[in-house]
Amino acid sequence: MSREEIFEQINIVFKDVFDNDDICIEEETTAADVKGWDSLMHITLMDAIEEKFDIKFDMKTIIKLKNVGEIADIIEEEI
Amino acid sequence: MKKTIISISISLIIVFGVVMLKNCFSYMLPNDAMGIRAVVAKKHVSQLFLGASAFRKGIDVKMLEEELPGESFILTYNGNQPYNMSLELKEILEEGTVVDTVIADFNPSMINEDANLSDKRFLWDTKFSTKWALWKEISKREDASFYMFYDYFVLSNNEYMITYPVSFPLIAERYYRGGSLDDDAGMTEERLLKLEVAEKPGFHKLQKKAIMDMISICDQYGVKLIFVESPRYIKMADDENYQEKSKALAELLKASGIEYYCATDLDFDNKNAAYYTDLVHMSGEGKRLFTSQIIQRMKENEE
Amino acid sequence: MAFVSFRFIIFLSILLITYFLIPKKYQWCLLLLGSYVFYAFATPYFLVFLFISTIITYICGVKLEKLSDACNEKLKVDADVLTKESRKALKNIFMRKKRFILIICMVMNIGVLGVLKYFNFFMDNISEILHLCGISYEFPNANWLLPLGISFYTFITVGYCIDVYREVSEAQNNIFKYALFVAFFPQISQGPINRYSEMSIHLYEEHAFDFVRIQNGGYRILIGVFKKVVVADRLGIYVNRVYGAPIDYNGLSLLFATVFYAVQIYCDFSGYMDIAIGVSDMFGIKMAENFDKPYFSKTIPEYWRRWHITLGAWFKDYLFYPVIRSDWCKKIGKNLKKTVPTIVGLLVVWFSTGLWHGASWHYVLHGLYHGTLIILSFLLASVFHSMKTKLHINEDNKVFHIFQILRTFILVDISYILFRARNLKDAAYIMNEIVFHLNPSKEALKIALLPFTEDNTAVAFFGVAMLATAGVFVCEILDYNHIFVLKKHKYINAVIMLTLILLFGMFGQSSFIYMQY
Repeated sequence: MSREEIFEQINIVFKDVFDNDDICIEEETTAADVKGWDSLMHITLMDAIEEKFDIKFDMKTIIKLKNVGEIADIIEEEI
Repeated sequence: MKKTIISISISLIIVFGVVMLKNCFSYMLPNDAMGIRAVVAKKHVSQLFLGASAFRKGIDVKMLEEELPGESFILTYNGNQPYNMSLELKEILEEGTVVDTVIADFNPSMINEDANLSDKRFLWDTKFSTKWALWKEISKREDASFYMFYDYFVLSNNEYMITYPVSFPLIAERYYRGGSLDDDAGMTEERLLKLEVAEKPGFHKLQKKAIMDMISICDQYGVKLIFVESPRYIKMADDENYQEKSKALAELLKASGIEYYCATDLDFDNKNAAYYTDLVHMSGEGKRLFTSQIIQRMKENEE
Repeated sequence: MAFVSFRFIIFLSILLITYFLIPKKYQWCLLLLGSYVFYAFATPYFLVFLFISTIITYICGVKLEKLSDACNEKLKVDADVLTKESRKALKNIFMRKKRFILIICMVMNIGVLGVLKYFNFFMDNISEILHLCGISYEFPNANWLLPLGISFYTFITVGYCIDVYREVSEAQNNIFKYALFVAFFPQISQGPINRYSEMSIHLYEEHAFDFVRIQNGGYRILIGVFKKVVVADRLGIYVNRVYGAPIDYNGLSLLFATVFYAVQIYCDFSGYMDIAIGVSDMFGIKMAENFDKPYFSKTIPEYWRRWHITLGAWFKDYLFYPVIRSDWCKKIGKNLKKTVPTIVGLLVVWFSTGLWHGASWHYVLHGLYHGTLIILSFLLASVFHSMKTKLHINEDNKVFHIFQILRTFILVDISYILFRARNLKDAAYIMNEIVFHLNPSKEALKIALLPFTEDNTAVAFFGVAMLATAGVFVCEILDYNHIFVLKKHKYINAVIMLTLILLFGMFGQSSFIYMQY
């Protein structure tokens, strides 16, 4: 899977989790840029991404992730 | 560095200035509702009731006005001790106020105490020399500390000072000639009996001397001096320490030839809880009864 | 020793002067010594508990890192040989060993806190249960005192161990350096609950003398002292009187006391933080912020991101996430609704938050009250959203913001009744009086002002309390609207604050509210 494809799939997950079709994530997108991305939604988001890509994040990853680009990095490593 | 030192200095100068002005001149601000300044402003008072909060809450000035000749005034501060009372009396008489009769609070609860100040309004109302005299005695106490000094001279009454235009009228409307206009309901016997009596024994030499000073200054200015006890609720009146102090105070006054009326000399039912809001202070009903009994006594004395 | 005391001023001055006179490489050693002296002044006998907690978690950290390093080394060395499954299996073996060490460490550490703080609570509840079963037996109560800051330093050390376990943070191999992180005196009694990965950046560095930095630290301390002695302690007199004997006061007094308490606890706690952070800044060490204008929050979840920030973050990272990511919780999510694990996680966290504050059911209820509100806001998010759409409410509208802020403040203030009341009975009485027996009138208002001084000077006292409170919140409103009054005019602000502290400070009351937790 290419990085563009990964981003496409992540965007679908974001639209679904935040119930907002206007979301368009980028490398530098952080929690501050997405309305509703708080600590509760963060876990929901992580669960949804794990399910989508059939991977498992460890706690270190979940806590340390700063932006969507880093999520894509982990996904690239795992798959 | 320079700006920091300047800022701290400015602040200290402001504080110092405010404290000096307050301690030296606060008594000059209008205060005709209660306190020493109100008495001094009167120039002539026929009956001056001098005591603590029990007097303030326990005497109805309007009743006194109707029944007794001339003007009556109630001068009280919370926790007023004989020593503080002697300083207040001295300041009033030295200011030139003419007083015919002083009815002082026969208050056994205060006579074992070392110099103390419970009511900071005393500091607002008095001249610097009076304040200093009290502080000199307080500073002799074992537990005297820098914080006490700071609280006494720097912190006291700043809230009143800064809100004076609003506070003074609001406070004044609750008083008439120093007497409280409150008409409180009495308590129940059950609740009164639950209250603690915290009387300690003893007759402090400072308070003994203060009473002698009061007698002496009244004599000097030709003022008649009487002591009257504001009746305590039976639980307090029956307390051993209270009774002992009461006896000691009565003996001192008797030996000095001063007229006094203990609660037992008045026909006051101190078992009736409806007359009290706590062990010491009267309800509206109690106030009216006590006042009528004082008036009766004073009228009998005239005859 | 109390932060607002002569003793502390002397201690801080001596420490600060010595700090910049000694060779810079020994500065952290001096801080360690100073921190233990500070602790000894407070509770010398309890140094042993601090010491034990430090040793246990230090050893745990070192061992965990050794295991992590060994695992990573093996994965690197055998990278070409290992398959995906065998890599996973190898990781699991090391994880099991690490988990074992972590669990032992947590049990010991939290166990000490549990016994010292919750023994009586636990025993009383057992007695109650036995009583309900018809068995009348009262377990004896222990009379021990709590070591200063035990709730805080236990969380700091446990957080450190979990961070090392997760490889989020490196372990500290120097026991003395680690001991400094645990015992650092500005944080020891009331937090913030700092993270090692953030603190360690500056804690052991060499710090040159910088007058501007010290001046800024002093300014921050001044703000904290103002909030504490001019606002918090002043309102505390009223609150303590009324909440100390609620049946003696009218409904209006109880309402005032509840609102005043919200201001008191904020100014007390955030004032402490200002002093602690200001002191720490003077030494060149940055600590985490713990408050961000919490009473301007628009929702309860936002409030908990702005109030006692480090505690919320601790519970989120070390309890909430592990609970809802656990296998048993995921099983619940599979079998029941997907939202159930989140609800379970939130209930666990808020029960624990309540209990952390004190060994009493009214604290637990306080925690669960907030947990319930957060669960409801989570479950009803879409309902609220569609309501706003139907009512054409513009979420960016300032009037709507004000409504949200007031609503959130009222919800939080209700919880303070549970938090501050002596017990559940008092809390129920107070709520009942406020809701059903308010009876506002001019006379009731006059009586309601009295508890400040119990005499006619109460009006003046009330006036000053309100002015001082207004001062604090006007600055925050301006700050919220990006008008940084406190940052811009520092010298004038300092003169005003110092003057007001010296003239209106309630210096008689010196202990901070959160020191009891």
